[in-house]
Amino acid sequence: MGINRREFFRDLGLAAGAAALLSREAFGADEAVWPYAPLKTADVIVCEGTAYKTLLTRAFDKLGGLKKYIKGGDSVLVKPNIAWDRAPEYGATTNPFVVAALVELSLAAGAGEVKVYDNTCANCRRSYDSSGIADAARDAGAKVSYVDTALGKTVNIPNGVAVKKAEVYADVLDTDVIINVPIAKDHSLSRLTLGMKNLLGILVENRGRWHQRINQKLVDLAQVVTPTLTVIDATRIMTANGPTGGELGYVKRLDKLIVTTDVTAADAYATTLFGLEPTDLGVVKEARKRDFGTADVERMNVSKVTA
Amino acid sequence: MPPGGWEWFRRLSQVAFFGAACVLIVATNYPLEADLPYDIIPRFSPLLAATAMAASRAVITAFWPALIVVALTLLLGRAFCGWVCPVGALLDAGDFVIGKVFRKRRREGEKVGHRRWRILLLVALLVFAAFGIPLAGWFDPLALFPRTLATSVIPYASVGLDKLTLLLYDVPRLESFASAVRQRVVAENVTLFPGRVAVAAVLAGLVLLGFVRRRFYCRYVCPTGALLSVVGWASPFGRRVAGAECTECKRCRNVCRMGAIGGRGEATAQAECNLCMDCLTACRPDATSFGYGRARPPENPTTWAPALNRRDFLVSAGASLVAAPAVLVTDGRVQNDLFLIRPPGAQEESEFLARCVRCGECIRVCLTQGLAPVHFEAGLTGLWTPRLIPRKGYCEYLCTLCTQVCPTDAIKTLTEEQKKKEIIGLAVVDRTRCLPWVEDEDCNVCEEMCPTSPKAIELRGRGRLKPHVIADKCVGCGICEYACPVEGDAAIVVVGDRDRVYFTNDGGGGRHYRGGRGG
Repeated sequence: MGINRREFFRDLGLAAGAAALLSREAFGADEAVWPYAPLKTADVIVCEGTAYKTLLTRAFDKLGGLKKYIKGGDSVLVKPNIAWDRAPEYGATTNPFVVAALVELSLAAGAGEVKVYDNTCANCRRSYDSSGIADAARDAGAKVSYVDTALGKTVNIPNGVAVKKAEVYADVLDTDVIINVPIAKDHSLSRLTLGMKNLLGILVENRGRWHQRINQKLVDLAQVVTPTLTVIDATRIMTANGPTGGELGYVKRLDKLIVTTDVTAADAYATTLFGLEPTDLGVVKEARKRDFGTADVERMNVSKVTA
Repeated sequence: MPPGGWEWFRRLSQVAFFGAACVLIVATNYPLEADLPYDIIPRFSPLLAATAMAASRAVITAFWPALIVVALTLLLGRAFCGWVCPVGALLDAGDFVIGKVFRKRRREGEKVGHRRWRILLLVALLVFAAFGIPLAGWFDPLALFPRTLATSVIPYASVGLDKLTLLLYDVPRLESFASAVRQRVVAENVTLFPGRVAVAAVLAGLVLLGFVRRRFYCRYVCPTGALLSVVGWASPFGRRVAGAECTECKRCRNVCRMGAIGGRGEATAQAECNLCMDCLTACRPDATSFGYGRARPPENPTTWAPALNRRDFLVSAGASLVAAPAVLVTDGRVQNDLFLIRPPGAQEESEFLARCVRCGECIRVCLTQGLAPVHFEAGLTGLWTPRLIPRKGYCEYLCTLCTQVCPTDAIKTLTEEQKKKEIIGLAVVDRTRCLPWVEDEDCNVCEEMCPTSPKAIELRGRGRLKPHVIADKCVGCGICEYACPVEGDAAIVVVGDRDRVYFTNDGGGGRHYRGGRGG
């Protein structure tokens, strides 16, 4: 059987790649010599302070302004963590003021509508009310609703490693821009729950079934439903008994927000707030393995804003 | 006489009370912030008051509205049955439909002696209550009505809306309407279980008995009406017929929904008449009036006034005196279902049973719709008392709704702080089905969900982490059983009776229980 030119070059490329890989493994070569790894960096903005709206405005400006991400009339989903029936001070749900600030900024950037919802773990009515998010977001001008689990759409995950399809809330698929705004907190199985874990709140299927090989599944999902922006709420972090918490003693106040377009970078950087390494987190390790986003803090372009 | 006749006032009153009852039951829902008297409907019943107090041997002051009904009955006879009772209103509507639509002509002649059945039932219920077994809630309209709405009508209506609005979603102009309705449906979180059908079947059956007689239930069954017959027997108010003007046309006899008119129309059974006033309009010569002064009793007062029949009284009381202790002994021998979980704040079981009037308010208000009516899991006498079915809906950790709507304090009111400490059961891991235990797969759903701090479920183990329940931290809320991803029955189950769980010494803190479901 003959070989044509295209195949020859393809094979040559593969061989070169393999050689490069081997040499990298063998000689511990710097990543810069690795020809096929995209030299990815991520801009990560770490905000410190309590004037959330000002902080976020400055952070988005560093990323090119929110208008770069939200076109006029866009439908924007601000996706907080409203999973639990807890008051905001327990750090089990996203800070309602951060959610409200994001809603206001999105509307100011020209969003046609801003939606806020999460498929809760505890009862939706109590969680929406106790977390303070429903009221805060509504006052800020958002359309707050419960996730209607009867209205799901199947999304195929062709490159999925652990899961090949997901039943996603149909409304998410009608959304132009997703702003993922998780709270950073403790979690027994995945160590921490951060940006990628927060995306489980758009599923309408039995999420219990997502907790086996969870790290692979989280990266699988993030590849098809990728948030435009991720804002990790570390104004308060929950350090123990997560993800439900329930005692103020578990909560540490940091007054920090991590803003980036790269959900992997967000998760990786957020681990450092807990005194951990990014690789301590299975989901970051998995993303790194699959070259999804920027998992190495050294490759991040971290800048700080305060207000 | 007002234009259109008094019966229009009566109909207006029936519609108003029926509507108010429905609105109140529908409004018995999170977050209960309207400050309405959500639990007031059963509290109007003198029978529920008498039986609950007798059975629990306590004065339950919450029953003060029943005194209003008693006073009303002393003054006006059984006006409550004709003007106020929501079941009466429903039956009247049903009877109207059966008469007009099905053109069913019901014989109004009857063996008057059948009227004594409700009196026999009343006596039996009182005797049973004296033995600590209150069963009045099974029959009382003011328990039956809210129970049926709460456990059956509203859930099925909700499910119907669910299906309907899913269809409307595809109609472009109705989408926002459908969306708004669906948000409500999603929030109500309705679950269905077989118990809901049985409860509905009772009320449906009562309506269908209208094919036999109008107001069949009120004539032959309703023990509350029977009690009001006794109370209203001496009422000075009633129907009178001016003998000189009466043409003996008997139109009043035919029109009477209670069959309370005897003779050639001149006689009235005070114990039966519910003052619907239909006979006023029916009376062509205007010989009929309602006013003070005793009505002329029928020819045979012993059958027309079953409330005062000594023989029936003795038969029923005697039979109940034998039956009640027998039921007590039987139920005492039958252990409650191991998985019977009472609502948070429920009194100790015998006191709970004594006070519970089976009104279903707690089932209505339950945030997760995990409360369901019991069949025979609590013995014969526990029928339609509430239980939690965690696989359908768990007990939300900080929610106290059901404790706020119990009319008789069978479920005591809890504050949020008290609720956190309220223990209703104990979770047990089924190590033959739990994923990390048998499949060697990661799973932490039960632990993740556990709302206590610190958590009552810990993940332990070298290598694969496996869930372990910490018994003295577990409150039995059942969110673990609810969320367990194993198909079918959960791999972690909550037992209602902690005492029947015993610990094994297998080094892993294993826990076992006797008997399976229903055992």
